[in-house]
Amino acid sequence: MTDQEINDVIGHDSPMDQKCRIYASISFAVLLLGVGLPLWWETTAVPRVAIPYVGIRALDDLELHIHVRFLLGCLDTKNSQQLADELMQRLMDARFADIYRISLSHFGTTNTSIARAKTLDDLNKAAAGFQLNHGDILVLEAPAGLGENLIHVTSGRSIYFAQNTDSAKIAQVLCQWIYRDAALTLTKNALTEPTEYSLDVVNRRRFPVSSNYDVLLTVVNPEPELLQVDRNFSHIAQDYIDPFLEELSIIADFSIKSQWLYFLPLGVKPKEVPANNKFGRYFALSEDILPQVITPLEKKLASQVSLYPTINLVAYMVPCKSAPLHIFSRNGRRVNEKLDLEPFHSPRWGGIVLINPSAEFCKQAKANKIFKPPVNITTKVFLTHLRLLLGIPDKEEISRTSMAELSGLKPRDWEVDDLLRMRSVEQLTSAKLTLQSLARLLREISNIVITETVGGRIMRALELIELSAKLLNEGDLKGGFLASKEAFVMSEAAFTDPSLLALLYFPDDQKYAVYIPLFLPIMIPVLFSLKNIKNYLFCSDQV
Amino acid sequence: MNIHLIGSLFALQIINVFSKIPHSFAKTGHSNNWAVLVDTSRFWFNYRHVANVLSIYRSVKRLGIPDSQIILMIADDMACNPRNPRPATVFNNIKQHINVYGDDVEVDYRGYEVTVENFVRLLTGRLQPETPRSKKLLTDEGSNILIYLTGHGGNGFLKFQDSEEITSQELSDALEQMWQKRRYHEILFIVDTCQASSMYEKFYSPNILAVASSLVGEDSLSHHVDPAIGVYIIDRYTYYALEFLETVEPSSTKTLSEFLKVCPKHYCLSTVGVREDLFRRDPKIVPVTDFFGALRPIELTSNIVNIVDFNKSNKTFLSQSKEKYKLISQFPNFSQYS
Repeated sequence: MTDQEINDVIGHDSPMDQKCRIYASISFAVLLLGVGLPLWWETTAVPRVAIPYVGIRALDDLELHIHVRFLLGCLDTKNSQQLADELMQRLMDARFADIYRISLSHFGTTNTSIARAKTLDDLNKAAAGFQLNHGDILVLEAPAGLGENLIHVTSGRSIYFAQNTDSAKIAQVLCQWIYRDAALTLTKNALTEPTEYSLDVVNRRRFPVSSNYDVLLTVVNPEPELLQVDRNFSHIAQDYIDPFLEELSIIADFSIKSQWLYFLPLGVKPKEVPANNKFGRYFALSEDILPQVITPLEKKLASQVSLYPTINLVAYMVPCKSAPLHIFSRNGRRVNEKLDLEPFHSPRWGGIVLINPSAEFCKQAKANKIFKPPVNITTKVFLTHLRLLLGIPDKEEISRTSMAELSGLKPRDWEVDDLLRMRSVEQLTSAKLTLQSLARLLREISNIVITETVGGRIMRALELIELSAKLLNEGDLKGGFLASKEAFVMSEAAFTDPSLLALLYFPDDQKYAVYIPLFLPIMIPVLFSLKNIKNYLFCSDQV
Repeated sequence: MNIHLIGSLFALQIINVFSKIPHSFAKTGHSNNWAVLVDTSRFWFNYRHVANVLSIYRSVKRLGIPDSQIILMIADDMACNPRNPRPATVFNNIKQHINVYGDDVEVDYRGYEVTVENFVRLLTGRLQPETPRSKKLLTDEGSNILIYLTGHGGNGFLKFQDSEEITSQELSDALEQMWQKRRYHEILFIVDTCQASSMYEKFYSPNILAVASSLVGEDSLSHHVDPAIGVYIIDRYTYYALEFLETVEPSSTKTLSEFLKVCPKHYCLSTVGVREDLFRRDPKIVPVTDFFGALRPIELTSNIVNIVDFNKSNKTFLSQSKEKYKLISQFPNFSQYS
């Protein structure tokens, strides 16, 4: 074999070959380092949408002063100016100014139907002429017709006061019944600084805010074989409770269910006491052991099937052999002796009423007779429970001040306004805290995924909080409330989104464990070829 | 003499001031009770951990927390294990006094669902929306929560089922999230593992009382072996805790400070660690039932609202109409179409 032949077979590098090889290496390197690496970096990065940290931090200084309008009408224009000044001063020096802003307009009613009103009905008719929105209050001086009382609070949004009523008295009614500034401030503080403030008894009773509630009416009949109860009794759920809750539908969505439970004993043993009544005895249950009545009941109520907070209303049919069953308070007296009812309630849980059959009924109970529980009075008890648990507290009595009776199932207009204000404050504060907590978490832990959904919800919640505060400051109570409700729901949804934890339990080292075996075999030849490329390009004379 | 008298009076005053606990602290502010009970280990040789967690489960259930408010996370591979000589039972004692498996155990997270991720998701509420209610911790700012953990731990971590571990930092961050989200009122945190006290050292959220079966550097020891089962059947700390809890009734006035003393060193052999600085009430006056029971506060309803013109709604409902019910055939009849 000649040298020539050997050269042909082995194929010595011609400059052309070398050039091709170098270009191939360059294209590999460019592809891998220029496209592959950034692509890998991009695709393995934790997806994080930008979060408005600045806006969320600024929520700390969010100003919330609910704007309330009130109109003051006096019989005499001169009087109205003076009274308006006095009232303003009295309201502003309290804690009132912390949470409220007032605009007061006053006018004289000399030649109007108000001045001619003889009775409360006349006044009501005259007051109906005013255009009052959610949160507004009309304070009118009544020419006559209030009887002995100095002040009368209607079921609408107006208050009447007799001539020469002290402005301090009017301010007291406004603060204590209508605006409840102390309760609002406490609620807000207890949410923001739970270590400093805690809710008082009245404010701890109502359910925490939620967009939905379930109301569960349970009729418990422990001895159905001895006591037949009218099946129609449970219709109070549809007949009375449903329309009542419909009046409050702006606050939340309520769904109502009813159920019957049998063979469920009371769980405690009441003490038998001989007495001078038709039974010749009664059974005494002391207030202290009532919590032990709820505990066994709770296991059987099946309120756990619902995802929303459940308001339990329980009617317990006392069997004849342990009737009448009376509840005694700690100081040894019956609370509702006049109504002959035994109701009690547990904060944030619900209400229970023990229903005793009458002595006459029990004596002839052997005949196949059906026990008809008193529907009207039981309904009133349940409505009382619902009002308390939803946040319409009992009003403390003020001397020489009367309040219109509830007519129908509708709550008083100013009570609804109060509820709107209370829940706006709760929802806004809660949404604010939720967003701030979430923002702190997202900033501190860098491998938490922030999906577009979560980012969008945070943005939306932030906008809604600002909008709601603005509307409340401008005096649009209904609009402000609705915005705060949505802000609350949005911030909850953002905080509890399951995707936040998606990568937290996928540690970083595992990423390398997956990708390094894939990339290393390709990367090594490419990295080595970089040296050749450098030699070829910059020191070509040596080759 | 006079000066002396005044001095002693003054001292009395001071004692008075300090022994008087503010009313709001003595009275609990909680309105409901929850329990999260976790056994982080599995397999037959960890029989004792299942007995531990079921002992606590049995107690809280007996004292009144409904199953809907107990989250039980266990592998649940003991009762029906082929090695168990008495199927469907788990005993805490060789004498078989108490079958802690009981008649109805409602396990919420079972088998391989007991993971760090699920535990943290449970605490912070970040569960999938389709999660059933029984697997959710639906607490609010009025909830007292009992958290009980048992398993194999080391300095600063607790092992979950041989494959992963939760660190004390992760746990305290999760609790802080709960606090910021107002998901609890107070927490009683009990952990029965080796070097257990390392789990609570990093806590920084308020209103937590933490108890650990052993200090850092100590092992938490088991109580005794049942030869029929072949393994240790319960840990010392929980054994004595259960012994104490069996004497508690829903109405009893036993306090948390008594519970903290259930296992002195000559019983446990390890030192029980307690961390009280985050807890703002005095354990001497807090009843055990504030955490182990579920007594709801009650109020007598006094002012029944008076309603005038009280009419029921005019809507008619299906249940009121006199509709007759009849049987219809199970399958539709197609003959009319053919």
